[in-house]
Amino acid sequence: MQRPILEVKNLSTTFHTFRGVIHAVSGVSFHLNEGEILGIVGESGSGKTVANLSLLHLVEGGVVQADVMRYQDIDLSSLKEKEMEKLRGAEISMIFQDPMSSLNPLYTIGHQIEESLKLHTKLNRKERRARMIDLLSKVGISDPESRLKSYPFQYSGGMRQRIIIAIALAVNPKIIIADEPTTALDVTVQAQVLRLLTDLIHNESRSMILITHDLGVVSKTTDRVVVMYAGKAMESGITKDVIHEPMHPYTDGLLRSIPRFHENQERLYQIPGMVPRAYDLPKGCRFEPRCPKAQPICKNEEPPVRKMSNGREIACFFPISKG
Amino acid sequence: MIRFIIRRFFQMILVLFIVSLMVFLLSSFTGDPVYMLLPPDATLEEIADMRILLGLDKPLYVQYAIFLQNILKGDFGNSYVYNKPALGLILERMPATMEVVAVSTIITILIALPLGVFAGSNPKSTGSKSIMFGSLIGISLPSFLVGMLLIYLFSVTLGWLPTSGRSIPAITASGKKTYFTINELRHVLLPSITLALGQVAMLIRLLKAGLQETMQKDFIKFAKSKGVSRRNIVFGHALRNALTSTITVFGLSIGDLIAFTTITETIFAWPGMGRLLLTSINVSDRPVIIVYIMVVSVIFVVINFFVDILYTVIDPRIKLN
Repeated sequence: MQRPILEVKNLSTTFHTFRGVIHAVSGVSFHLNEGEILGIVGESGSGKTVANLSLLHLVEGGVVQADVMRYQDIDLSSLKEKEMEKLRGAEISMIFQDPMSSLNPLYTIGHQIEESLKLHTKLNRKERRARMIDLLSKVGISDPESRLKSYPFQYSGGMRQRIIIAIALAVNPKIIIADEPTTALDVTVQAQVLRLLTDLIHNESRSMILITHDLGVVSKTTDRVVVMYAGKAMESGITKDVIHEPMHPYTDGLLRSIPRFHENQERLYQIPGMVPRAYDLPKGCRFEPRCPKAQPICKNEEPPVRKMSNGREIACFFPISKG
Repeated sequence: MIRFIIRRFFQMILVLFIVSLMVFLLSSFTGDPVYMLLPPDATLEEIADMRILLGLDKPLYVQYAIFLQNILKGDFGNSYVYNKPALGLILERMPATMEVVAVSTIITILIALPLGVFAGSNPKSTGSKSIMFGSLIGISLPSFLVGMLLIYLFSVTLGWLPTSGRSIPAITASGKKTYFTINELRHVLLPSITLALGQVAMLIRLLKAGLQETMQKDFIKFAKSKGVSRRNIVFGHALRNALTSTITVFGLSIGDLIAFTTITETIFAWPGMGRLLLTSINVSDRPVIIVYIMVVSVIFVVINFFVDILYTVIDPRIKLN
């Protein structure tokens, strides 16, 4: 088996606040193979964003610990800030949720794309310009030459997200971490942007981590998926397997909450209860208070991660089995 | 741009009109210049003559109409005390005031910019907290106290700097050339520092607040993920955004300095406009007071004009129209 391009084992990120210690991410492991799209799915506050920001040392005021945090042959946890700056954007780049606020309003599009090129390449001015025009046309922006001089406020959300994708791709990074890249966009634009992103990943054999709360997006675009809840990975595996045969009650609950076209549903399923507060987590399984299958053991002990067939991993004492 | 200037010009005329009316009314209710100008034992006849001489015997609205008429002719009235054109008196003293304001603004920017940027980009550090605490003191201390403390320390105790005065005479009607000499610098330093203290404190707080807010923005996070160094994040991305909110307040506060250096100029016997205003108020020298306030209004409008232009340079989203 090929060695994954990115590997994370037992990652924990904690914040010390005046309300207590917040375990935003506690002991999450995942890996990303070359050329694949990994989905990380979970509700708001499940730690999916913090886990990825931790990789690039972009968590402010938090303490990041991990047994393994490796990109290719580089140990990410040991990198100094200067070395990390060289890696960010050049090897691993990020795309954020809200395109309306991700671009600096005071600089032209060209300036902001060129910034990455200046930082990470030795291209001269002419070459940079050619590269920028190439990038913009790649993300489907017409008349790229004149667009370089315009400002972010002159664009719609969808266009801005395309520009952000162009910036993220500018220096040919191996990995893109896209954090809810389509959530803030109109539904019609969402599909376009997602399509563009996945095409660019596949055509240029890059890898991507797609953070989302949308299981529809996960099933359409990702190869493998990690389901996170309250800072822990509940279930992971090949997307098809997870979607069609969820083994963790949480994944099952999420899937049952999606409205379906063909079924006549009186009322949409809803997982009972609320996400636990990050500074007041249950002692045992974090999903136990809301779990329909919970037993006394779930309350007192954290379920260990069990390895199943086909690369499936699951953290549950009583997984759903078929039949 | 030209439309913008023309519009601003008419706005200014309107502002000046309203200001002159208000000041005219207010100053006519406070004190009678005749009693200030004549000796205490003046006869009723002398008082009446003086009234007629100054035009104060006519009803208030007639006085104001005459005043307006004269302004249109370019005559802003004569000072009751000096019997010279009021505008001339003020303009003569303006360079002295501008000098102390300019020096204090330079001091302010040199001190407040680095401190504010530091405090705003490291808001949780001890350094930032001490800077903010210091700025609180700076904002709270009244200038008359600061001025006297500075004189006590640097002039009386240490003897490094002169206690008061300006080495260049304010009135250079004789055609004397004014050079900015070391001696002049020594004179201007203490009043400038006195004026600067409050400004420094204010600018630090504005910059810190603006920068701290900007550093939380998504585009800062995105820039970091591009691999931009911390230094360039602060100076390249955050500072420019933070400046938009800072500039307006700072611009107006420079106007404030020019207009109301009164106390500082008095403490340091600085021959500027502020001191003229104070003495004119004491003797109810109405023309000087009115023209002074009008000059100050013009300064405010002009500063605002430049602030607006600066805005469009900093922020492409803002258009002048």
